Amino acid sequence: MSSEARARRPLAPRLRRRGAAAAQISPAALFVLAFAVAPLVIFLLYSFWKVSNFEIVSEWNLGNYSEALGEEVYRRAFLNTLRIAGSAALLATLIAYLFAHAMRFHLRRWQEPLLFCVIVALFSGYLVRIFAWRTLLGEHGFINETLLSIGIINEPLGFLLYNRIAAVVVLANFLVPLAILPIYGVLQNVDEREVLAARDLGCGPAGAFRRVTLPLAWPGIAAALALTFIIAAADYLTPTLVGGVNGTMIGQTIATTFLDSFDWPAGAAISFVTLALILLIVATVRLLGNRVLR
Amino acid sequence: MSERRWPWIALVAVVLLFLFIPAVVVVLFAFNSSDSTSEFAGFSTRWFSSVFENDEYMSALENSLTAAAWTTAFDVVAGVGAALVLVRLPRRLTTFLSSAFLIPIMVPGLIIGVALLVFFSKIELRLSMTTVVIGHILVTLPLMILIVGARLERLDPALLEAARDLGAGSWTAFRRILLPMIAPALIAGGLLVFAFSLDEFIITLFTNGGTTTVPVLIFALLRRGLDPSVNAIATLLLVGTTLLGVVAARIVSRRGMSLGH
Amino acid sequence: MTPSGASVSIRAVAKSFGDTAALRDVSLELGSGEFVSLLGPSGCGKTSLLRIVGGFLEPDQGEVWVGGERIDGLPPNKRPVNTVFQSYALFSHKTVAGNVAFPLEVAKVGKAERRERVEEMLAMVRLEGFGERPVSALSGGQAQRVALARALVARPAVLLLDEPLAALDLKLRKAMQLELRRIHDRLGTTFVYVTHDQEEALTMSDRIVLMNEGAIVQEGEPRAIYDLPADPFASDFLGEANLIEAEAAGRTGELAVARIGSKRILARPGPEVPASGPVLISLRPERISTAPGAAANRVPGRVQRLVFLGHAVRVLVELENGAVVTAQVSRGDGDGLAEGGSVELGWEPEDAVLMEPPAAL
Repeated sequence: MSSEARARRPLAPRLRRRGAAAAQISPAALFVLAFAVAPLVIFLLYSFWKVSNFEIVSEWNLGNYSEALGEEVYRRAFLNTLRIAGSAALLATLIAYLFAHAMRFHLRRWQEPLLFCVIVALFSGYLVRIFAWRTLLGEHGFINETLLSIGIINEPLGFLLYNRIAAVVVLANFLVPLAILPIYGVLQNVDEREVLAARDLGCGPAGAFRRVTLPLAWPGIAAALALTFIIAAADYLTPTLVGGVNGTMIGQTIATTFLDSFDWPAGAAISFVTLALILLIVATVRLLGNRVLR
Repeated sequence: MSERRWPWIALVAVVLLFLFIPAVVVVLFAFNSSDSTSEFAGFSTRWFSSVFENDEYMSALENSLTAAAWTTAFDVVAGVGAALVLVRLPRRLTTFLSSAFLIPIMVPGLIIGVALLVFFSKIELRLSMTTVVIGHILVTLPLMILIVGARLERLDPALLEAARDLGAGSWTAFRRILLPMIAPALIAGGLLVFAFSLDEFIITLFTNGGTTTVPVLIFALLRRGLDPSVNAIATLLLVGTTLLGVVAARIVSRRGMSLGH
Repeated sequence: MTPSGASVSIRAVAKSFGDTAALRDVSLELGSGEFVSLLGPSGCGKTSLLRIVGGFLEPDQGEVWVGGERIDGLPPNKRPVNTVFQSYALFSHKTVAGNVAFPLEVAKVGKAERRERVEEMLAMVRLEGFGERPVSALSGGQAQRVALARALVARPAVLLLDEPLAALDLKLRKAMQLELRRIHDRLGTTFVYVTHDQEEALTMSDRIVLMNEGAIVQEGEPRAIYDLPADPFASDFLGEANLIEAEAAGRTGELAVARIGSKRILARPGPEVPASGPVLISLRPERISTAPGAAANRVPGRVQRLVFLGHAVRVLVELENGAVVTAQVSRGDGDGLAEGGSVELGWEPEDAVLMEPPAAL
C-alpha cells in the first residue's frame, strides 16, 4: 500500500485495532496484576495490622515495624544476613568474573562449550545442590570420610558444616552460574583492541584492566552483584540446611513466622524491611560503582 | 601478545569442578548399593526401585508433572498473546513492558510465597494444585515473555508489513508468519518454564495445601532424616531439569538467539 | 621545542605462524625522524613486522632496537613506541579529551600540564573544541585524528601506523596524507607507516620498504625505487610497468643488451642479470614515445587499442614477438595514431631495466 493510501485509511479501524491489542495483552497483564501486585499490596496492608486473640485484626499500627527494626533478635538476623549474603554475592561475582573473563579473552575457542556447561549448571537444580553439599560437608560426609581414609586427618572436621562459611560457600555455588551470564554478556561487547591500545599507551596488564576493561564491564558486574545479593539475602533453604546456629538468616525468620506461628503481620513487616534493605544496598552499590568507575 | 593460558585453564577447570561436584555426588550416591552417604560401596539401582514403589514419592512426582504442565500451557498461550501485542507496539514501549513483567522476578521467591499465602487466605481460596500453579506461573511468565520479546526484537518488521500488504488479514498474517517465527522461542521458553516449575521450591512450600511436589517432598524428607532414596528422587529431578535446560539451550543457539548477544 | 624521533634497528627478525612463514630474516635500519613506509600486498608481512616493533607479537628470532636500546623483550607499555591502530581503538567510555589525556594520566602527568598538552595536540590535529565530545559522535576522519593525537601526546620516539587511512573515502584520505606528513615534519618523530597503497607510499614517504612474501624486496627513496626497480615484482607493484620478454645478449659498456624478437635494444642492467637467456625488460608506459625521433631504442609494432584519458592517450601496441606493450603518450602524439596502424615505439636505455624473470613455479 502506498503511503498515500495508508494516509487515506480511516481512523476508526486503527483505533479498533488498538483496542484489540489492549484486549489481547489482558491474560498476561491481568494475571500479573491479580497475583503479583494485589497480593503485595494486601501484604503491605497486613504489615500494619496486628494479631490479637489469635485473630488478625485490622488495627492500623506501626508496632510490627518498630519490632522488626528494634528487637535485638531481628537486628542480629539482619546483620548476619547482610554478612552472609554480601559475602556470597561478592564471592560468586568474583568467581563469575574470573570465569567469564577467561572465557572471553583467554579461551576464546572454547566459549560455546563453556557457556553450555554454565547453562547446564544453572539448571541442575537448587534444592538438590544444597542437599548435596550437606552430604559432602557433613561429619560423616564424603569429604570427611575421604580425608579420614587417606589419613590426612584423624578426626572428622566439624567446621565444614553448620556455620556461616558453609552458608556462604553453598550460596555461592548456586549463584555463580547466574552471575556469569550478565557478566559474560557485557564482556562480549568489550573491544579487545581498546585493551591493546591501553597497553600500547603505557598501561601494564593490571592498569589496562582497571582503566579500560573494568569500566566497560561494570554494568554487567553490577547486575550480577544485584541479582546474587537479592537471591542470597532472602534465601531460606541454605541457612536452614547448612547454616547452623550462627548462620541464621532473615529468610528463616520470615519463613518460620508463616509456617509455625500465626503472627502474619509481624512476618509481613519483617519482609518489607528486608525488601527495603536489599533495595537500599543494591542501589548504593550501583551508585558508588558508577561514581568510581565512570 | 599471548600471555600464558595455563592459569586460566586451571581456573576454569576448578570453577567447573566446584559447580558440578554437588550434582555428581548426588547422582553417584543414588546408585550406591549401600545406604551410606559417605562411602560408595557398589553399583545398584535399589534406591530407584524404592522410589517407584513408594506412593508418597509417586504422588509427589505426579503433582510436579501436573503443575509443570499447567504452568507451561498457560505461559505458552500468554506468551503468544503477549507477542501479538508487543509486535504492534513501538520499540520503546516493548522494552518498557518487558521490563515491567520482570517485577515478579525482582522480588525474592520467599516473599512472593508468603504474600501469596496471605492473599489466598484473605480471598478465602483454599490451597491446592490451583494455588501452586498460580505461584509457578507468576515466576515463569516473565521469563517466557522475555524470551518471546527477545525473539520479536530480532524480527524484521518489514516481513509482517509485507504479509499484510499482500492481502493477509491480521489473523492469517500472524498465524502464517508470526507464529512460525516465534515458535522456537515458544518451545525453548516452554521447556525452560517446565524445568523451572519442576524445580520450584520456595513458593510451592507456602502455596501447597497437601499437593506435595518433588522439591517440597525432598525438603520434608531431609528434615525427617537422611534416607538414601532421597538421592534417587533428587537424581531424577536433576536429570529431568538438566535435560530440559540442555534441549532448550540447543534450540536457542541453533536459531541464533545465543545468550551472548 | 620539537623532540626528534629515535632510530629503529630491526635485525634478522623471523616469525612463522604454524607452517606459514610471515617474516623471513628481515633486517632494516630506520634513521631517526624518518618517514618510512612498509609497502606490500596483503600477507607480505608488513603488519606482522609492525606488530613486532610495537610489542604485540613476539618474533621467533631476531632483535629490535630503538634509539640504541634493545626492546624486543619488553611489553608494549615499556617501549618508547606508540601505535595508531587501523580500527582506531578509541576508548568508548571516555570523551575525546579523555582519550588524548590517557597516556599522560598513566604517566602521572599533573592535571594542569595534561590539559595544556591535550589542547596543544587537539589543535595540531585540527580538532580544537572537540574535547568534551563522546567518542561515538565522531566521524571516521575525526576519530582517526583523535587516535593520532592520543598516540602522539606522550611524544613517543617512534610512531607506528597500521593502515590508518584505509577506512576513509578517497578525498578524505588524500587530505589526511598531507596532514600526517605535516605533523611528522613538525614533530620530528620517526614514523613507520604500513600501507598496501603504493600511491600513498610514494606521496608521503622519505623512504619506502617494499615487501613481499615475508622478505624485503627493495628499499630506498621513492624516486629510486620507481626509476630502478630491483625485480619484476617491484616494478609492477610500484606504479605501472611493462614487463617485456626478451633474450639477454651480453653487455656494452655500462648498458645491457637484449633482443626483442629481432630488434636489438639497450637497457640498464638490474642486479644480478644473466648475460644470456630469457630476461624481462621493465619499462614504464610514460617513458615510451610514439613520436618519430632519435630515441636510442626503436621497436616497431601494430596499434592494438587506443584509450583516451583526457590529458593523455594510452596506446596498446603489439610487437613482432607477440608481446603487448602499453605506452602513455601526450595528446599531441596520441591523436595522430589509429587502431590497426603501425607505430614505432621509442625509449631511452636509462628508462628501461633488464631483469631476471621470476623463478619458475
